[in-house]
Amino acid sequence: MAIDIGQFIQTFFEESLEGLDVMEAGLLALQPGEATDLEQINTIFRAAHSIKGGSGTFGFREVTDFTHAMETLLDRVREGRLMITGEMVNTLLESVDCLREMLVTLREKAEIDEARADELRIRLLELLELNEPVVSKPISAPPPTSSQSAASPQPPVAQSSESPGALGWRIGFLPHANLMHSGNDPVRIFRELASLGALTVRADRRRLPSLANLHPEDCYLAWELELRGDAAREEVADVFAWVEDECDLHIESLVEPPSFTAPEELRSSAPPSSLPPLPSSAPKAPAEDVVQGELMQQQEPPRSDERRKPERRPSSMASSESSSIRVSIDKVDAVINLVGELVTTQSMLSALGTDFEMDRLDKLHEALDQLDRNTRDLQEHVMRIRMLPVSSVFSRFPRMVHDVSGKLGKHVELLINGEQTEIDKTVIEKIGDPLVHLVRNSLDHGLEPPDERLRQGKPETGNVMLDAYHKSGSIFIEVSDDGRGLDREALLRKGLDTGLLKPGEEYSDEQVYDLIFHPGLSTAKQISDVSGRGVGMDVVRRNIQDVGGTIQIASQWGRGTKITICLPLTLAILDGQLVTIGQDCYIIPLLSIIESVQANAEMVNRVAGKNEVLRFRGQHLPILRLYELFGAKGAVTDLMKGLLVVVEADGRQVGLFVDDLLGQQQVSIKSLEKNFRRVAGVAGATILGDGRVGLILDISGLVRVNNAVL
Amino acid sequence: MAMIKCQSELDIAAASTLHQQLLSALQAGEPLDIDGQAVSRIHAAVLQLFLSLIIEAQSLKVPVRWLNPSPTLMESAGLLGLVDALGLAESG
Repeated sequence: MAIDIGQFIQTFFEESLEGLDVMEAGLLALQPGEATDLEQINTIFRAAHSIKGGSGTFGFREVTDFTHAMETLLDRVREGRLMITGEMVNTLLESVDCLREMLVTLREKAEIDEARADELRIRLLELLELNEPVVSKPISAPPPTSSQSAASPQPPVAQSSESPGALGWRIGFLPHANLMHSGNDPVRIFRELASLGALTVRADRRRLPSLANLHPEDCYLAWELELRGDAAREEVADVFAWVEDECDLHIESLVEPPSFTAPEELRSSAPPSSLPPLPSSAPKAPAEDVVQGELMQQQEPPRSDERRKPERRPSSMASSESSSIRVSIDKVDAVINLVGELVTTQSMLSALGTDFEMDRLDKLHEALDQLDRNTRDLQEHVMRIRMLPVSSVFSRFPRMVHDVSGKLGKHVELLINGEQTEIDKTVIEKIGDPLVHLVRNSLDHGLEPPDERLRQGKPETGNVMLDAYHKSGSIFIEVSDDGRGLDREALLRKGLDTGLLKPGEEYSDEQVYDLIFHPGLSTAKQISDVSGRGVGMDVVRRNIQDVGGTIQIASQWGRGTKITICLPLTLAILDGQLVTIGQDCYIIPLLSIIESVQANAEMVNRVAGKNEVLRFRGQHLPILRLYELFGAKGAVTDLMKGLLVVVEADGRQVGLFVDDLLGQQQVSIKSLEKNFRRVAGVAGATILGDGRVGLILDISGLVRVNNAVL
Repeated sequence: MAMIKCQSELDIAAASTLHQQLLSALQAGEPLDIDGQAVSRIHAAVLQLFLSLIIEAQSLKVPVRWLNPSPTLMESAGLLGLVDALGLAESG
């Protein structure tokens, strides 16, 4: 029964995209002009080779051809025939991009941009032509003659030598006597092989007995085959997949003739019939032993334009960029262990529940405590399954810094710390773009050009630092640079010009720096294609807030800027404080709460006869009466009779007026937007223990609402 | 002159019967004609039988001749690299 390889296609895409990341990281680590780092080249080569092999298996011919071109170049470097140059690294990086695009396009079952691939392929070819010294490469040792192979049969499916720049494959096929017993037919096998390229067949009849001694169903013949064309080794091996246990099979690459032909190979996918004839050094077997090497079958391989189109997978295989996750087996094992413990607790409770008597109440409480612990542990571990290292986002920056710094003519060193810090997958997917924007800003506006840095007594090379760490139940990501810092005066002027700030008032650094988050406000002197159009920072903050995070800026003129993003560990569950407002129950995220206070008359003042403020630890905090905001009926309205919960978001504190505090508990967050509609000041909803719906307050949103009210 | 008329489907199941036929024909020592016109499918096991016959016939100086080998027969022999050895090149 045939195996449906379609089920593995998603894995192929995932692994290939990971392979491209490896290639990219490897290419960025190469030092053009210096001694070739063979280990690095091998890593890049292996990644390319895996992609080529996989794409061949799934019939993605465009990817196979393109990777083949990259492989050829890398192979020359590996062999020491080419030196790494900056241009080569850039072309290979562009090729990685192109390949990534091709894979994504194929995954989405769309049409590949062949023009771009062709253009890059030509550039790869030019690199080969420009750099290739005319070296007569010795032809490798000739294949074993028929008499040799008969005397010393090859091991089954011997490890084959494989050269990616090969012209095709030499296949030694020595069937065991029983090969045809199970219905296998070499005619069918060779027919399939011939569909992959130009096939030359030599039969070895030395084992054939006389007619009288012949068992008609045994196989006595052996064959030596040459398949010319660009079929992948895996494709060739696949043809023999059903007989690999019933034969000795040896596949090795056909080496190139002395004249360098790889560029031709790359220039076009010419049919192998145009390839040079067999090297004259190819062995000739004794005439009496072997049916001589006449070209028995030289079938034209399919023309390039008639080649197998990439298989279009059914829609069920549609893109699932965010629908799958790779999890280490340790994490899964931990969950399984916890489920085991849960089952034990459940058995304990069942036993207690049977003929329960009050004298066993303590036992019941104990078991319920255990259930609580199990549930919490299980939840924690299941959440961990969704956690990915932040390196999956950080890994894009070395490339970006390489490209952008080159474009801007700046010397930049990127320092990354804490890339193993884990964050919820959903959060990771949402923070990628904001981080790109922040790093671009650092490169474009933050870091000074080399001459300016030298004038200021700074090292010529600027630093951009990315740091991720856990702190008090949140994830912090910092993007900092040692560039010129934010120009407070320029921002202040802009703020005044645009009316965002009022003349004559004192503003803290924080308030001034906060202006860069306003839409349309940019102090960049020159708009570049990297950044500086004044769009973006507002979007950055909105994206961060969308995942329940906050963003803060610290800067020192002439010394640099640090932007700190604080993110929740997960978006699925939060620790909440339940509060009542009228008849309803609301949840305030515990992390936002500074303190809860019962106000007295001395603590509450009115500013300008209108806005109420709470005097709290030497500060005056705005008071937000939530019952007014949400239109709750039957709520406490006297500030002295309710409670004020002091919360903080975006560096600002407000006092939320509520009727009373209930307990603290973890709540599972459900989207209000998906189930109802977006409500200002509300981050989501949850189902409470008694079945009621509780609204989870969006503290950042409430702080913004409060500003608007003020 | 003996004549063997090939059936259309010469799969591996037909090999045993054909083996006996070929042995009898060889033992007769007479020139042998093999009519391959009808062959629409032929298994490697059958081609191997014909090869053994022809090699032995050559050593015994018994002439063997193909009559109208079908395209399938030619193609299959070609795929196995046996066109010349089977003497199909002359008849094709």
